[in-house]
Amino acid sequence: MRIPWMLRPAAACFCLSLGNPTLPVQAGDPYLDMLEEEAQVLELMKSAERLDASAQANVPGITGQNATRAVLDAGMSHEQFGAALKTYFVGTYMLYGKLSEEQRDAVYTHYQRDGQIMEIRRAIAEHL
Amino acid sequence: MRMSIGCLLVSLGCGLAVAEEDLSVRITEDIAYVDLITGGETVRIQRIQDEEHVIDGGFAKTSRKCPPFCVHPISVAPGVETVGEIELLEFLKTDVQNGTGIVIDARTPSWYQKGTIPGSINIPFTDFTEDPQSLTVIKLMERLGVVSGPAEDSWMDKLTAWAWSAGLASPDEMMWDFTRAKRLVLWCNGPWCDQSPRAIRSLLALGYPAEKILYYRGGMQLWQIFGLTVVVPEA
Repeated sequence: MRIPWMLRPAAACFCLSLGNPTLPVQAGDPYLDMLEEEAQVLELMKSAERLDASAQANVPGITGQNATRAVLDAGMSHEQFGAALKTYFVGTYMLYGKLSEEQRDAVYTHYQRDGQIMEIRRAIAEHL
Repeated sequence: MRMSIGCLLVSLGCGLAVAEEDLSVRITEDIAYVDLITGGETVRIQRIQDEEHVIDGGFAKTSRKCPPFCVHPISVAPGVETVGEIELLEFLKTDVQNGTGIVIDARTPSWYQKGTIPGSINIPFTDFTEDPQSLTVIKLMERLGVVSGPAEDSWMDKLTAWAWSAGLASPDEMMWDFTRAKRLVLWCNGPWCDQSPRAIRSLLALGYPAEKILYYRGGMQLWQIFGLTVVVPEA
């Protein structure tokens, strides 16, 4: 995937954040673990959304608002779904790229039920 | 970042009075916005004016595993009053303004850092559950206006204080003097969140007077559903 040069610093930070959870999880308390897990999913979603919006600013006809509210067309094949993410939702696609084949299948199934990008992004982040 | 308690003031100019501005999405018919001075800056609490706005992200999520993310009853504990958004704003205007009250975001830092209610300070619920004699709890209690050692108002208090200083009494029972304890509002992510209820239960276990504790059950979820202002703390 080629990332426009102006987005590379943001993408680099985003990649770093994928490998470095920002806050330690206090071991031994399942409630705390679950809280931190959700906080991390939200952080990933937010980062992906920001990158999506930045990338879309450079695509004619796409507005930044679509990074939040867009709904992907129904009926795409698995490959078309991946290609749509790659083209229009760079940040989300970067998360998607981290998933195993099995996890990608689960996200694709999720898309077939609900095409909202926000929900697809959440489904991807929850698998990470 | 933890905002200083002392630096939070509510501007007298606006308060809960009718605003001059023509905001179509008001807090109530009479309240358009509330201005706070926090950390030396004015923060305006108002509702999002875009009538097409919907919430997204974590607070659009409806379903989480229960337990632990179960629906909480209105009453968190006997004697602790539950409040809504208007009461919270009033509390910011009065109690926080005159230094007798504190609004506590009881969530873990990773949640706080994503955004908080203006005028709140972050004291994670985990701090309240530490050993009552630990430095963390002693410093925390000092922030809340509580000093270590029992009050000495009555002869019974004096006797208790003597017993405590002589090591004849259980420190758990009489470690704190709540005479000047501040009124508190505690909140967390929403009616499904157990972070502020845990903090409240811990405070009560330490002997904090229930009548000085308020619970904003709606938390960040309800705050965002109303489109009220959220501030992101400086890193």
